[in-house]
Amino acid sequence: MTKDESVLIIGGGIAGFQAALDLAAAGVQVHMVEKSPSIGGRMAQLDKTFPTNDCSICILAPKMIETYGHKNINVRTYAEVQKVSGSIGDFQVEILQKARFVYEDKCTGCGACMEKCPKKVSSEYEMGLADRRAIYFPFAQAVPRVATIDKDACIHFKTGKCLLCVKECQAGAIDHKMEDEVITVNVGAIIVATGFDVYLPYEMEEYGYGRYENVVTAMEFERIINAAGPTHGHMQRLSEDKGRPKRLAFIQCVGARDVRHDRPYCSAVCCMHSTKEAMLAREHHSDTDSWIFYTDMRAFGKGFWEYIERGERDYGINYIRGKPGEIIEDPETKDLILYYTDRETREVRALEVEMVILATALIPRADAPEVAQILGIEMDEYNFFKAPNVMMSTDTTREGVYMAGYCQKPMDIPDAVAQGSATAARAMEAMAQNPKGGTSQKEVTA
Amino acid sequence: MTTFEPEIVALCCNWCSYAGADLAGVSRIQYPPNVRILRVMCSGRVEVGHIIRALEMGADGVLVTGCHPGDCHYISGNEQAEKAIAATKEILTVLGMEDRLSLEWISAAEGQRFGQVMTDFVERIRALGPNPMKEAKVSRGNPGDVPGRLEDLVDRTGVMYCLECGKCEATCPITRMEIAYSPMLIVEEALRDLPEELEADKGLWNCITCGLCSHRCPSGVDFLEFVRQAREVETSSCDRCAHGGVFHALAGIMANEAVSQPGRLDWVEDGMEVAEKGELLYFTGCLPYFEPVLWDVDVHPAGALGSTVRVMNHAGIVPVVMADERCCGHDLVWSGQSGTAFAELARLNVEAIKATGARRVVFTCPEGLRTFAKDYPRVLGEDAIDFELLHITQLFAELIEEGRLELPEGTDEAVPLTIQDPCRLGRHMGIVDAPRKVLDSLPGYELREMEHHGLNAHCCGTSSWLNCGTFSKRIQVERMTQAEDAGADLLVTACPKCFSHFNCTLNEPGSDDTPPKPAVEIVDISVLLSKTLGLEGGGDR
Ligand SMILES: Cc1cc2nc3c(=O)[nH]c(=O)nc-3n(C[C@H](O)[C@H](O)[C@H](O)COP(=O)(O)OP(=O)(O)OC[C@H]3O[C@@H](n4cnc5c(N)ncnc54)[C@H](O)[C@@H]3O)c2cc1C
Ligand code: SF4
Ligand code: SF4
Ligand code: SF4
Repeated sequence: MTKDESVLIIGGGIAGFQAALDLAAAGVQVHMVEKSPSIGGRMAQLDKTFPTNDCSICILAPKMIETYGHKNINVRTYAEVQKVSGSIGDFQVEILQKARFVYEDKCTGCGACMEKCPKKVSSEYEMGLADRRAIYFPFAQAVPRVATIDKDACIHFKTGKCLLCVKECQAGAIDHKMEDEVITVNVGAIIVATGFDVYLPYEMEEYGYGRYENVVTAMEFERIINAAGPTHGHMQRLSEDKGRPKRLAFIQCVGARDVRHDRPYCSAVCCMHSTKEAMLAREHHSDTDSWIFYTDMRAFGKGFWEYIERGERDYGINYIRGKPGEIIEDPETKDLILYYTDRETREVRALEVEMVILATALIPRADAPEVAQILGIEMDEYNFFKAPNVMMSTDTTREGVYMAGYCQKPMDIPDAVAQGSATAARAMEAMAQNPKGGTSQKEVTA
Repeated sequence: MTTFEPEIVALCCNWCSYAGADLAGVSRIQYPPNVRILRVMCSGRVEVGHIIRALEMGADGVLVTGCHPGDCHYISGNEQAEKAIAATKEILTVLGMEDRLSLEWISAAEGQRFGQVMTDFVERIRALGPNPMKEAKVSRGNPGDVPGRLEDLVDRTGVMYCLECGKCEATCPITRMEIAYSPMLIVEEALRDLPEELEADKGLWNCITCGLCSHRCPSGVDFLEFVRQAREVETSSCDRCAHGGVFHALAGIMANEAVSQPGRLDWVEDGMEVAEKGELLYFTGCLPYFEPVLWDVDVHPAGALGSTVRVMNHAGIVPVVMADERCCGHDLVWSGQSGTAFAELARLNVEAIKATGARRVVFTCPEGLRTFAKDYPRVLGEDAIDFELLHITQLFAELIEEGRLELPEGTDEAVPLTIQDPCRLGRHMGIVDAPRKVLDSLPGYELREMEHHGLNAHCCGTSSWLNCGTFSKRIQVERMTQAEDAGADLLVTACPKCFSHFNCTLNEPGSDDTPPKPAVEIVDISVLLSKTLGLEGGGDR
């Protein structure tokens, strides 16, 4: 293996970091391409992580910084891969670097611009529960801490006026004339680690998501209980009263394990994360009661079942087998009434709660088909990337292209990390056996 | 003809007529031996269904006898009988069989008269000739041969994929009524292959086939289809049939080709333009004859027929209506009556439609639409229906879109209304937009959706003329209350059955402690449209 061999990693989430850091530590050059303005992925949005209940961003941030700062890793945020040619050992990759209208090397990350920016849009990071400005950091710990202008939202691109941010910026980092760039790199192997999206169950009218304000997804709830979240860590309802919900109901497998919505698969992390969220709610306020309605308790990992037992024993979580039939909102109080059957007595019961958290299906990224097409790899019937066989579980159907994390199948953080390392090893093996490729220092600007 | 000996069923009241028969006997008064007497406690006990079923079973004539007016042992039973007979005659007019039925008053003292009435009736029927049902070749029942095994059903309808999540149970409006019924329990019994248990607890017959559970089941268990087929396996008697089984019996009668319907088109009024051949056919279903059964609850759905034709004519459409249209067979499908009658109805209807040259067939009743779309292909073959099927609201929506209806200007004040999505139209057929398109374009009205609407709508509480009971009534009251809660003055129906069931509950006499009925008026969508277009003669509403 020579020093100038290099690998492309698509996706800067936890799986991508692990692969990048392993490769970099072995002296391999890494190009990381992240679509959003910051690396971090889903884990950056979580409050705590099961089964240890560690603060998620606290364990993630060091990895983000290490990745971004590593001399062997070249991180490109706000970028996408748009073309791949060549073959194992020698891929030519075209990367589209989208204009962020702020010079990465000039921006000091002071945030003065966004204080003045008059244009508000809803924040992707906060799952739409808070606003950000047209010029923004996606979240406080964003890496790189460089502002980005959302071209679709920015007033200047509509009227030619405004430019308040420019006036405010002491570093002179903002340039609305910046243009997209296409960069070509040459790599020996590619790792795709693009993660997952959260299913928003608008079509499942029985649970009222989108209709009832206090019905939220689990990812929204992670933000609601997070100290840096939209409610500054106060457990709050989304209805006008902004009351503190004392009675919470969690519904599992919403749109997952559901053939009616073409998703018979299990999202693999929800039994655990709902228990975690119920625990955290109780830790916020000891008078919080939670009910978790589950299909089967799939707590299969090491220490997982014990975690569930702890939830029941130490946190007083009520586990109820079965799915509620429907939720009705009390239009006055905005409380929610769940209809479910009591398995012992076989009676239909109504449970009144103040907030409902839906553990919705975790689904492949919406752009997975395009990514698959660009990379020339196959997807399975749900649009997760496909392995050629069970013995090559981190390989894709194209030689030299590997995959790690949730983009290939549902998995939790430790598994995504393990896959990250596995793909790093596979990538090195690929380059060792196909030594001709890899001239990573040669970057061509088109 | 000379060998024809009529078979007559005489339903005689216990207190007067039956005693009259006794007197005739002891007085040795002669009358023909063609009469079979059935004693009933009161002529008022005789329902439309009893008579129609007797005729279906081949009786050449039915004679109902009771106490003279004013003499009824139960004060007014005979008045009730008069109404029932009038309603039955109205229905029999469609089939040209009205003369096979008679109502007579015979007191306990009139032995002589008893003999005379019997003799006259027998002679009258002899002159009419035999009931065409005597030679009936098809029957709705399924005598003996069990068509399938539970095990196969479990495979065919996806029941084996049940996760036992209980979502169906917590969804089902019947289970919600706190009766010991649960779709999941039925699924369990089926999975454990326990047909006896299934039969014993009669649970299968509680389902109103609304389809809400199937719509929500994450495992794709087609509970609807399971119920339909399981009812065939668990051979039925019509013991859950409402209104004395009259509708199911009428289906049985119409399934026989020899039965003609001289009065089928009596509803067509002067000034309505209809045709025998043409592009678009209006399948009227049972609308022309089911209303009389509901006269006693003062429910009148048949107006939708005329309104529909008036709207069509207004748009320049002259619909084909068929004198030999027959019952669609829907109620047989859902009551496990897997005899030959259903397939025969399907065949006769489809052949009749083809003979008109129609390319589009429009239904007022979503039950008929569903049956043509999903059940006819099962018995006639996948390609049997080569014409387009559409619900009346789809046609109306199309006409509105094409600007073919001259809708008047709106008024400032809009009357709030809401819409009941019929199970057969919504969840069975997936049609929820068309009725809304129609209502949205009506000036002077404003649509207020109920909490449960579209595919998520709650049922009107009864279907297939099965199982009407207290829980149906409770479901109806609940649904109408939801309409009221939505702020609607009018609850618009797109199904004559929904219309009838709601109205029946509204008209039900309550006692002093009955809570007030929901304050909504039930309106059929065709009638509403026709009124808005000013086609109903009186005003714009
Ligand atoms: C509510 C909730 C709670 C959870 N709680 C826990 C927990 O407590 N413990 C635990 O172990 N797991 C938990 N999980 C699961 C955990 O989030 C995942 O296992 C983990 O995030 C997977 O990481 P990943 O790197 O595969 O994907 P991601 O975190 O999704 O990262 C993928 C990255 O790729 C980028 N990307 C996507 N598409 C492209 C593209 N086309 N080009 C370039 N970049 C792209 C994304 O922007 C993102 O940065 C939870 C999940 C949810 C939904
Ligand atoms: S120019 Fe655009 S980004 Fe800058 S302040 Fe105005 S709206 Fe915000
Ligand atoms: S909803 Fe479906 S999977 Fe759940 S118990 Fe009912 S039939 Fe079974
Ligand atoms: S179809 Fe309707 S009535 Fe029948 S079990 Fe399902 S939800 Fe209940």
